[in-house]
Amino acid sequence: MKKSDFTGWQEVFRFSFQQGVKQKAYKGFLIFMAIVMLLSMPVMAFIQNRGEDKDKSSEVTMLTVYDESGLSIDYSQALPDSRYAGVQITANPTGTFEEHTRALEESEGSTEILVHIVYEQAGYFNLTFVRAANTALKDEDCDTLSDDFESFFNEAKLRAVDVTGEQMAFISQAVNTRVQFALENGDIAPEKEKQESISQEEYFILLGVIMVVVLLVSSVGGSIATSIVTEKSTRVVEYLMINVRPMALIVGKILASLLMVLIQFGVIGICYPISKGISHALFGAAKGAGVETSSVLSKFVGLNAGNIIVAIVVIMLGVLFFSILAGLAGASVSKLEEMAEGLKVFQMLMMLGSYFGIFMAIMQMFGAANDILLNVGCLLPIAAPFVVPAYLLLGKVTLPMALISILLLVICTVLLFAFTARVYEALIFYNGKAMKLKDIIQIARNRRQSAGKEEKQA
Amino acid sequence: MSLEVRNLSKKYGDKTVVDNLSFTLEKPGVYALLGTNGAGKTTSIRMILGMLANDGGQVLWQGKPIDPMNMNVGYLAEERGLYPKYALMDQLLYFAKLKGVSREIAKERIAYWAERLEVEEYLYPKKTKGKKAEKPKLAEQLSKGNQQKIQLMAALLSEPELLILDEPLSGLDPVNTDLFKGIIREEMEKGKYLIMSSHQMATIEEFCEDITILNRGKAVLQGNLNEIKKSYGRVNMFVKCDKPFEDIIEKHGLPLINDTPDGKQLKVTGEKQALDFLADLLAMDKQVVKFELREPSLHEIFVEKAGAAHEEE
Repeated sequence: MKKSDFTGWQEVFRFSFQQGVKQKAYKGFLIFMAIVMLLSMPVMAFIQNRGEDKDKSSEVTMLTVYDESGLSIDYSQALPDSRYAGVQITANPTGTFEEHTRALEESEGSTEILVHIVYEQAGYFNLTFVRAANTALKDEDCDTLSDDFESFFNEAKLRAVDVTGEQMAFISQAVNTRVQFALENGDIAPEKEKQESISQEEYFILLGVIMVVVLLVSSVGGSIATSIVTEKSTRVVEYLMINVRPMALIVGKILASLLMVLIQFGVIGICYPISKGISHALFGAAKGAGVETSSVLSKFVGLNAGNIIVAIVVIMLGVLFFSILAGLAGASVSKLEEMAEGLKVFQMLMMLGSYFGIFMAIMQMFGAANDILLNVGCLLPIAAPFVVPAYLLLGKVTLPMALISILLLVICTVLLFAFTARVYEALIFYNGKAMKLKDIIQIARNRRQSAGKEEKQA
Repeated sequence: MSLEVRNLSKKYGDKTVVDNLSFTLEKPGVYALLGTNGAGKTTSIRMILGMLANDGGQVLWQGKPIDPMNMNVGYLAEERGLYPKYALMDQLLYFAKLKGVSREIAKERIAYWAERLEVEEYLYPKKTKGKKAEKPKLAEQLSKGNQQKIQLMAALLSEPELLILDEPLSGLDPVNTDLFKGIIREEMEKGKYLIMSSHQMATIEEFCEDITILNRGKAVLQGNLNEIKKSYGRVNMFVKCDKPFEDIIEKHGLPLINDTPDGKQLKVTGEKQALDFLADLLAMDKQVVKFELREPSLHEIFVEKAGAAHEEE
């Protein structure tokens, strides 16, 4: 590869970018994404607040407690929250729980809830909440009240056996368990790092990042392959080739597609704080969807400027690597109808890489993944773009490992680029059925042999 | 000497598609590359333009290895190509920019060529007062001939010193053929170097002084067209008489090439045989209406050479 091989890439980049952003599909998708992003936070906040409005008064008007547990509990303070100000609490009235239940069933639009508390022989307390079949109460009224009542009961049962508030705070502390080995000298071996399972939230974060990278790779790769096949099938490439070298063509296209996708993500990035602002303005800071977002962000223990830059570099290198593959695939076919056939290898490698990431996430969730597998994912160039960014930000991959991953990706991208440079010129004028990988490798071999001959002659 | 092609060769696997092709364009004018389909014309052009790596040989421009990226060369490809979904003006400005022509100059030249080639309506959408301006035309909305005009514009925008036209007139109607011919003639008059490939032998005879006939990658005939023709001699005789003259033809043993209502075309070995034949016609009072003795046409030479090469193989 010579410097002159890339002459003119700026013009190709500018034209590809200008024409790309002019396309109705691109503009439409960009507007759609912006609207979705702008609406997302207010809609989430609306749904969230609709279901969980803590200020909203409970619709329950009467709570009747039948306590057969044998504990002596004062239920008059069972629901101290202001939402339950309108709830009349009655404990152990005359008549049985069954009689009251039958009466409740016959009532129309009742807003009463019965609670039956028994201590089962199996060794647990059973709290049964009953409401009328044709009650006017909503599920969320009953669920919220039962949750709050259960919290009260858990504390009350301890107080009933004379546990003080201090004692209660003490025994409520979390329990941490460690299993370690005793050494011959009587010391305890340092604790081995244990592969902990990830939470459901972390799992979805991993999946989300993998999906974003898949979207990036497939959209950039797809647009490059389509552009190359279009130029081949329409023969525009013949005119272009007297002005720019094939490598300048592919580089210009890759960078233009990359910029187009980055703009899409940039728009999403800009819309996010605006959406958050709208959400806060409509529902207030305490109730906006930002509360949920900050809890998600707290999962990214590796979230810092350095790691973010490294993650972006890995993603960009990955997109570059797969884009070159897509360019190669695009050049191996002559007609748009055959593009699916030509893109098989590209899609297969992309799927392998992303499936590896998804598989890792599933294994992590069940606590079955190990460091070796994770390191393999980081070192494999086809899997690294899908694995490294999310795992790095979640603190599951170290910075040195991410840097090694970048180094390997750079080496593989340069090698793939050199291979593409060798075969691209021959492929660009190829006119026939979709080429197979072995044919492309054969072209590369032939080109190497002829280059060797030229050097000898020189 | 401005363009020199030396021993240019290209192989695809074991098949040699261009075999030691050599020719020179010593002065401005049009050089013709002729050949049957698959003879290697387009491959040769692609190698001259540096699009395709050669397997041997050299192309020199002003005595130095040619570098189309750093010289002003225009190219009209055999298989026409424009981006079907992009606006024509955008494409022309892009092609001009790739050739290093500034946007302002490109716009001026586009306006000139649009008028000259009668494609203004496709490049400059109409603006009717009170109505929304029409959208710029896309390449896919144009006829094949008009697409060809746009491509010729693209080739001429940089005012190239070397212009390569691969089958420039194929698919054009007579009106547009004349339009293209006029432009080619103008470029010749401007002192440009042109290489043209065509199957239309009459057009080649109209423009070209020097030719190469390719067959299966090999140059089967090369040189100055007039000299080539002279070397064949005036062996084509066209005769028309009011009375039948088959007996005279039989007497002289002349092969009949063509028999049309406008007369008979006969092959003679030389001028002496032709004059003897004419003397007999006059002596036998065959009432000669037409007698013409001339060199073979390029078409005949081409058919002979390309046909002979086919037979050899």
